Amino acid sequence: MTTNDTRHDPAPRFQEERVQSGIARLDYILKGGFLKGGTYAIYGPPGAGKTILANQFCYNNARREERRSVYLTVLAESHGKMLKHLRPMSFFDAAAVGRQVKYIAAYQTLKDQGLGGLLQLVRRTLAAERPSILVMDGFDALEHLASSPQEAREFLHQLQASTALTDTTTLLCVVSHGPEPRRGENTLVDGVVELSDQLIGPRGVRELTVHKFRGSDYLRGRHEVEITADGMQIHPRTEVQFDRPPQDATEERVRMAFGVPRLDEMMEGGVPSGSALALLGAPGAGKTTLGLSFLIEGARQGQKGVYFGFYEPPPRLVEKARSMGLELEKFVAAGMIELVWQPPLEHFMDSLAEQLLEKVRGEQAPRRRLFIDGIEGFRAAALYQERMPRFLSALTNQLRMQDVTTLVSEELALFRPHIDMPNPELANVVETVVLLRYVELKSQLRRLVSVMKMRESRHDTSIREFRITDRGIDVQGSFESAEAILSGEARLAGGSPP
Amino acid sequence: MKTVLVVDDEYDLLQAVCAALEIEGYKTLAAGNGHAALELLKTTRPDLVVSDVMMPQLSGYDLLKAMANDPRLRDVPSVLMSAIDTGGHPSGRWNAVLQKPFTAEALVDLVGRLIGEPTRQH
Repeated sequence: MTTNDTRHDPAPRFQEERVQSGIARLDYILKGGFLKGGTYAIYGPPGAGKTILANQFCYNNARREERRSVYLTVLAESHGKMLKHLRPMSFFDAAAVGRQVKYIAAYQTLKDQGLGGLLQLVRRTLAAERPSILVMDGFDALEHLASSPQEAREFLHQLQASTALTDTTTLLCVVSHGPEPRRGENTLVDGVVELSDQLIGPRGVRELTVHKFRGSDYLRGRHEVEITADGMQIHPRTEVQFDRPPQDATEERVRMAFGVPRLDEMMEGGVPSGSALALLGAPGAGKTTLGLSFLIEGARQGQKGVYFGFYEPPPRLVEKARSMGLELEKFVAAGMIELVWQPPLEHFMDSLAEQLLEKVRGEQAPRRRLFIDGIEGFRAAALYQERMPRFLSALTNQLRMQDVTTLVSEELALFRPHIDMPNPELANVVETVVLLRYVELKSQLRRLVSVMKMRESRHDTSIREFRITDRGIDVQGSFESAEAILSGEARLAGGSPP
Repeated sequence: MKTVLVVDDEYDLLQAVCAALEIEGYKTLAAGNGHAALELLKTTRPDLVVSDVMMPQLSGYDLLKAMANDPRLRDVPSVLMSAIDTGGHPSGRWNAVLQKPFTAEALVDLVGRLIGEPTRQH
């Protein structure tokens, strides 16, 4: 559940009362939660997370409200088994069972007395318990036992009339096996939420899609779902989110220096604040070193910075910086630079973006700096590669809104004659592109730096050599003796190399 | 046992209101429109009439007007269930307006105030 009010659109003229699910970011997707007294179908194959979602909703409600939740099962998992599986989850509260969360097995009533008997049971329960939430788990069994689809629809209609009278928000958990639920009941309920569980390549992927939500806008499309020991967590697609700039955001642009004199000169003083820069280069070309220099220079000037990387864990990074004379350790210890490392596991792209943005939103200091070391980390986490252009555009835009100056490194192929960007869209969404290259010259590898693009700003277009020494990065004078540097095919044009 | 006549052309709401009152111990009679209600009222005198306003052919207002013109039914208390704002109704002889959507709690509370607790059968 988000608590950041800058993410919400302006309040509409009239808002129906909401019941927050308390499930991480589901309420954000639903623009505030389920509508109080509404009936919602939760579809999905076995194992997609329907029962966890419904139980989490009940227990979160038990913590918040005095009114109870009733969890009614119809030919679903036995209550004993269900509770056993829920016990390790952090939202589960054993003391609430039977008190704030009441479980009722309704299958026998349905079998003996039909849908009419079940409706009576529900109505009696609503009158006796006055629950704020009702879950009917195994609603598909009820459809199978109905004498006709019409009888099942009538039952649903009458159920909704009764739950509306008690202002009870109702979730109907339905097992579905198809790719997308297109059922008759969908026209009757107030909202339809689909949970899916599928293999995309070798990865098992759960997703949530809201297909319908009466009376309110919602974030459309598929959103990644994780089930952890804290229950269900949903990661809304980054490109459908929008941040408003913080109230105190300043429009005044300043230059954010690297602390590398000649490079800062080439960029008229540094990167414009609140903009994004792509740092392109082959492995070992110096991207991480230059990025760390940027953060360290910021820390020297009192600007906070975050390193968000995928490859080098913090101790190695600190050690590497130390060997190059960079004062990273000192500023990390002082809390001016935070090192965030993502271990080499399967990640979800939106979850990564969320972590990053929440870190940025949580720290409201002005003129913050961010270094994302390896945009490939996001690409590797992307389930749908076609999302990358819009994702990068949205992510950089959100960072701009937060007045963060961002450096993003991108790895280019080693020893390739042509520049082949794996994420060509990156160059389009950033204001500045800096290229770091190797060139072979007189049996020696040299490093070159050039500012290839700097939107709305003058910059030095020359290509310069730079060296990484034990005193940090040193950019030399113009590298004039090589030709076709950017094609990677340097040749001596005569005379001595610089 | 106290009897409540519930009149509404919306079948699901009619059933749900009757069920909510029956659970509390009232006896209910259900009518799907104003004419059906008048037919029932020819043979019975309920303790309370709870009627929807907007119904085809005979509105809730007309139903209560017909009751007011019948000396046998004139003193039967009545409640209108309506989505119209409380101030938007013409003058008439009803005891209360229950603004839709309402809760079962509000319904039962109002019925209790108008005709008292249900007398349960043992």
